Amino acid sequence: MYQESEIVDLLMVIFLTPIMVANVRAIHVPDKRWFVGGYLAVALGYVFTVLEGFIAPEALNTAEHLSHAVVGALFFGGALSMFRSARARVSEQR
Amino acid sequence: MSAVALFDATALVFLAAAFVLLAATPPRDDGISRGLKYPLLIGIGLLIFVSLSNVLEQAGITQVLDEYEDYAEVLFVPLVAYILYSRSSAEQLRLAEDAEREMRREHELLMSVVETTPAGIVVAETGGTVSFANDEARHVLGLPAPSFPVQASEAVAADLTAIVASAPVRGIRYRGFAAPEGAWYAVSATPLSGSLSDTGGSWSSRWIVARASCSKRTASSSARTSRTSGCWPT
Repeated sequence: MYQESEIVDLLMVIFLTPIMVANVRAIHVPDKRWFVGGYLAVALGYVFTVLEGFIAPEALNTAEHLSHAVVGALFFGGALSMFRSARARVSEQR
Repeated sequence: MSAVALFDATALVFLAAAFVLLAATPPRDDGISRGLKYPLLIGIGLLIFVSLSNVLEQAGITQVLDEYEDYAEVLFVPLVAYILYSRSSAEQLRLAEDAEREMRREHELLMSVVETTPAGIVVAETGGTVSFANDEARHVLGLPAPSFPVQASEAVAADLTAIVASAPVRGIRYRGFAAPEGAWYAVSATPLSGSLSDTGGSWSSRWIVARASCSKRTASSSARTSRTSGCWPT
């Protein structure tokens, strides 16, 4: 069965994501696609968390934890890309 | 090791590595600024906490973090929304500041051109109120040092009123501005859509450009470079 906090998480994703879309388009952050992908994976994980209380608990639980691994990989990719571009700029300045 | 435990361990390793890399990334205004870096670190820190809780739970070590895991998950989405909103606001503010700086630069350029042009340029209203006059126009109209709006003298005000009333006009020959006999001016005037003064009456403002026609000027060529003995009557 689902928990209240999981429903709250999902509701926040549902209501805040459309607002965030406009801001994501407006900002200029290098390699933001990695982080956008990571956020979407988090949101997907919340959906799986709630759904596993109704259907296919084992499969959706595995999918939820898989989404966590994907979040980690995407955030790592974004951080690595930011780190490299920042280092490249520092090297250019020298 | 179950698939779930493997995924949790993978997430923890990647997120920890992302945290370290991001912490080591030097902040820059045009890249990852301080205002973006530290909230992002907090966001990744929350996810690390969730993954750590899952790993400890899957490994059968402890479930003590499990009840706090929910708080971390609840905080994550609003934090992301805050990061995006603050970043977006900061960028919009920077754009507005850049635009204002550019506008001031263009204004200074325009004013330097207007002030140094040999033609007199006036923004006037019906009744002879002058909202702006460049150096040449102030000299011709006998206006005081730049302090606008200012009311022109009675004779000049009558001339300005006549020109304002006839706008738009282009290159008409006009004899006036209390000038000495024989001095003519080529005058152009156009309505302005806005006002340069705080006195209101923007719809009656006219941008007037006047230059002497020099029909009876007898000044020597060397005197042509002098403002006071150029085309304008002295």
